[in-house]
Amino acid sequence: MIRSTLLVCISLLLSAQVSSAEMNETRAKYNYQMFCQGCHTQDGMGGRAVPQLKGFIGHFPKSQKGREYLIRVPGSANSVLNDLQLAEVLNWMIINFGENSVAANWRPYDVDEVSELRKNPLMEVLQYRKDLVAELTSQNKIMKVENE
Amino acid sequence: MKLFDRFFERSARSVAQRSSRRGLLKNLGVALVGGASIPLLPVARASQGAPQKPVEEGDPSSCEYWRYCAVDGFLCQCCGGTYNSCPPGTEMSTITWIGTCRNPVDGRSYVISYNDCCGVNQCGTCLCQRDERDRPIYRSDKSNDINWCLGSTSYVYNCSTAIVVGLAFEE
Repeated sequence: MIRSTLLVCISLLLSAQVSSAEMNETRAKYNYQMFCQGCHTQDGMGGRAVPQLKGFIGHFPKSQKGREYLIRVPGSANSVLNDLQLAEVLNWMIINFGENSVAANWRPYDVDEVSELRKNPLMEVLQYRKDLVAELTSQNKIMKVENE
Repeated sequence: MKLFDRFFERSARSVAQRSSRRGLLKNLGVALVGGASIPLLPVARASQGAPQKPVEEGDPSSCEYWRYCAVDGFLCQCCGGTYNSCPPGTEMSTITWIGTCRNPVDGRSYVISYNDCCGVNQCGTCLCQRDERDRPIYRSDKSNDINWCLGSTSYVYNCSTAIVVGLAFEE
């Protein structure tokens, strides 16, 4: 009886640990809807002058400069989201929209990294992004440029 | 060293005498099935929330209708469309501003996307201005003063929809 109780307790503890290690997907999706979707659209396709996330966003973290770009871009760095929520929504976008653009060794953003990098937001973003995409393409990190 | 050997041998024998392989399998089975069935419990399921579709009650051509809590413009419902769709001959803007409204019928807050319909001159009926959580224009993503037809092929504004895109997250 005692052993059975212990086993149930261990299962409960394990189950709780797994949940706390995961991102809060509901909150991440909600924050995407509230603060990103208005321009990037529900399916991440973007539109006129709004960059496409779908099938592309995962290319950026293939270089350190690209990884930093996703945090320093004004929509991220200047957003009202706190560091945890911003890290969460960035990871959510990469997981949900990245598709084949995401490298196998992609490492999710963490709070400390986001906190540090968002202190230095980009002032000019259009040319910066264009140059970054060209750089990643020249390094063969992007095989086919789908959206510049 | 011998002391260690003796200690581990004794421990191993003691465990072997008190337990069986079948017992281990049984207990492991209990743990795995027990752990996996936790999300099936009513308490766990309750936390996953209500249905995504709100219960609709009221007049959707009235400014007071719950979905319009932050609308600023003509209701497409009065212009040949609905709160979900544009009137014929207009084009729905892809970019939009998004807020939340509380549905008084089911008591839940929903995420509402106020997509503008564009391409034909202003509809002119059912002009509504409700500005719940509307922000100044420098917070452009949360301002309803912007002509969101900037995202479509024609910048001419006709009317506004109020599309539910999800449930609001509550901490």
